[in-house]
Amino acid sequence: MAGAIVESGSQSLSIGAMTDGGKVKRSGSSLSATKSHLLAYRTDTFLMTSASTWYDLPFNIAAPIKDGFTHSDSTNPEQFTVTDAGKYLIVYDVTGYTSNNNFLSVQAVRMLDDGSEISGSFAVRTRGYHTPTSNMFVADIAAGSVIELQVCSDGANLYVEANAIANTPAPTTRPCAVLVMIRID
Amino acid sequence: MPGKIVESGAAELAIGAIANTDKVCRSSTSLVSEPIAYLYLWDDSTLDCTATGNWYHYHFKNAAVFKVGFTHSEGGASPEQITVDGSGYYLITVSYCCLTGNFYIVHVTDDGTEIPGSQLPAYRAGKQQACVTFFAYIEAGSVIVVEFGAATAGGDIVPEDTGLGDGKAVSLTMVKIF
Repeated sequence: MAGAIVESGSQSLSIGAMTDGGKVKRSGSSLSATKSHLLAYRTDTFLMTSASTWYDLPFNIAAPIKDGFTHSDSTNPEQFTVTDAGKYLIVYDVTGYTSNNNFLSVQAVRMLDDGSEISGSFAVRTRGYHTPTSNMFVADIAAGSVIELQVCSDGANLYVEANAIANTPAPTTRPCAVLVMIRID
Repeated sequence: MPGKIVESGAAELAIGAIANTDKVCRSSTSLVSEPIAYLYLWDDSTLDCTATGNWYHYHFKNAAVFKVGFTHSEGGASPEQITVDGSGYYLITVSYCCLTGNFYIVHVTDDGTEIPGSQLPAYRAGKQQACVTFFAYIEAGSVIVVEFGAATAGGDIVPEDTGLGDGKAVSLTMVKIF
């Protein structure tokens, strides 16, 4: 019986597009399997010159894990284009170092989908030394959408950075921002 | 046609052995069984970072709350080691609590090599939890270890002691995604 999985009974399911390694799920009368996930990070210091202004955060390292996304670490490195529509689990950590001794400055982070803020993506905290602003949320993202992470602070000339901390052991990689996106449905 | 899924046209996908509760994935011309894997491990042991500039293993001496697809022996000689049974992409979170007034750093190693994105520095000015989440491809048989360092000798990773929570010092969550 070509094009069908036949259950005991009469219902049949046809096979749609499948990506190797993707989880198989039913969608109407078809089966499909896709796989989309991303790990990206930034290691260079990023200067926010003006207070209370959103800045796109460029990710200057080629994503070590990237399947189902388009990203360049040289051309528009702040943009991540999503290949497949779906629900995505998104996690970010953005570190703010108070190198100008503005210890109580506030750092905020949010994510944009085609220029619009994703609901639930905003997070804010008062920065101590090296303390990250972190968040985890789920977003419904359309195919072809351009995703950007934005940062801002309540003071001028503050940084997203991850300086070495004296006397602590040195990690191999010292990112100041980490972004994870995983398609879950 | 028993045991086969036939695409419209001529291509066929054979059904392999699929174990109960496994996820099903495509692999070339077959559907294959993909074992699920997840781990939740926490401990309230204090870790003394006795010297600056060094990494110290954290020993998980409690039995894992959940452990499917991992090997860990809380009472064995190496309670810091978590061995991954199956290759795949894992979402990983480490949460920890520490003494105030000190700089700390955490990272996670895979067979002794730091996993990119796993390091997190933190300054603890009060009772706060620090948490890092990242994503990595891990080979079957790899040994995962959580390590800490402190900027001042004697800096401790300690259980949360407000009496409001479960008193954990460190927790590790790993979930196989693909």
